[in-house]
Amino acid sequence: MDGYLGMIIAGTVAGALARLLLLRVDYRQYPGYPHGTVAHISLGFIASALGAVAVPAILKPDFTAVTFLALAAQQFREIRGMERKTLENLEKYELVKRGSDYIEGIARTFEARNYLVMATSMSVSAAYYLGGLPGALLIAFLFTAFSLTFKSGETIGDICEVHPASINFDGSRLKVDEIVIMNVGLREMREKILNEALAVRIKPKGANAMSVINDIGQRMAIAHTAATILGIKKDIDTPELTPLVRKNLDTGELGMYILPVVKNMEALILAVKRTPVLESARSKPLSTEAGRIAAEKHDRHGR
Amino acid sequence: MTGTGDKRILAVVTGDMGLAAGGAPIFLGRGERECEQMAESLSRILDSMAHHLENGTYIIVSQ
Repeated sequence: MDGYLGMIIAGTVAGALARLLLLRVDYRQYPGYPHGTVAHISLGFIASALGAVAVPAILKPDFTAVTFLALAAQQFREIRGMERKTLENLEKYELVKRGSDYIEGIARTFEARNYLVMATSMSVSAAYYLGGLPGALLIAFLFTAFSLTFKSGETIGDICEVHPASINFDGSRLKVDEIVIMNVGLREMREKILNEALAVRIKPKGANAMSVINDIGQRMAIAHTAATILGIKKDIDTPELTPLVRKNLDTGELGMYILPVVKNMEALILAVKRTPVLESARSKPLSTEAGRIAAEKHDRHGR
Repeated sequence: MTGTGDKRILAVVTGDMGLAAGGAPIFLGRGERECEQMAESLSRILDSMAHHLENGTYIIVSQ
């Protein structure tokens, strides 16, 4: 029993530690709410305990006990639902919407993190059985490092160049360089935009990147991130001040316009660059022959 | 915000009744200045956006 207890404790501690490290409260302010944090830590603890008892259950041998891992998976799927629901409820009152792609991405991440925690605790308890405390420590370290690489995915800065761009009006049409953004009817608003807005141009590095930023959910995520970091002057009755990202139909480059609280181009470029690439937007046309031929043709004639 | 939503014309502001007709309420302004002021007031009241059609006519569009 003592041996089993050691395994379970080692696994649970390692799993809970991994969950704590994976919990990040960052610019997205999520889960910035203390109760959300408590909920996630508790669920992470349960996940690690479940993972940790799986190996002793096999050793006992009580093979049917392992089936409850399937039950655990079911529970964690509910976490995804819970996250999605919370974020969707908050979305109604966001001045700059996250978009459902972003919400789905965050929800999926929370579910996946619990699986990572379970895998960590299971492996650590097995390592404790086979190699004692040193073995457990080694595996705990390796798994935590592995989990942390998952935490930092690709960002827009990795796949695109972001440059400052100019704002101009063609009659009522607001343009970022040559990219038409929208029609702004009121003169007063046009003047405000001309004086206070900032614009950037997002240039994809290659066809894969182009298909990512072509995704509307990804563009919403870029606007949301920039607005969260820099703040925006928009209020509920001034929808024309919503940051917008539109594309040049011919080159696939994006133009983004925003009316930030702090007018600082450097900060805006950094904010755009750190937007995560959404899983749902990610696609790799270049890994197919058709995609490669199309990209080559586009490079030759399109630009 | 991204153009995927359901947009509707909530009101039309024009200086020339011959330019506008249809289902949305039409507001007749006397002169360009009054039209613009009306468009601004309506857009603020309806939390929606005023677009200019470049012919003196404004449409107020829900987001």
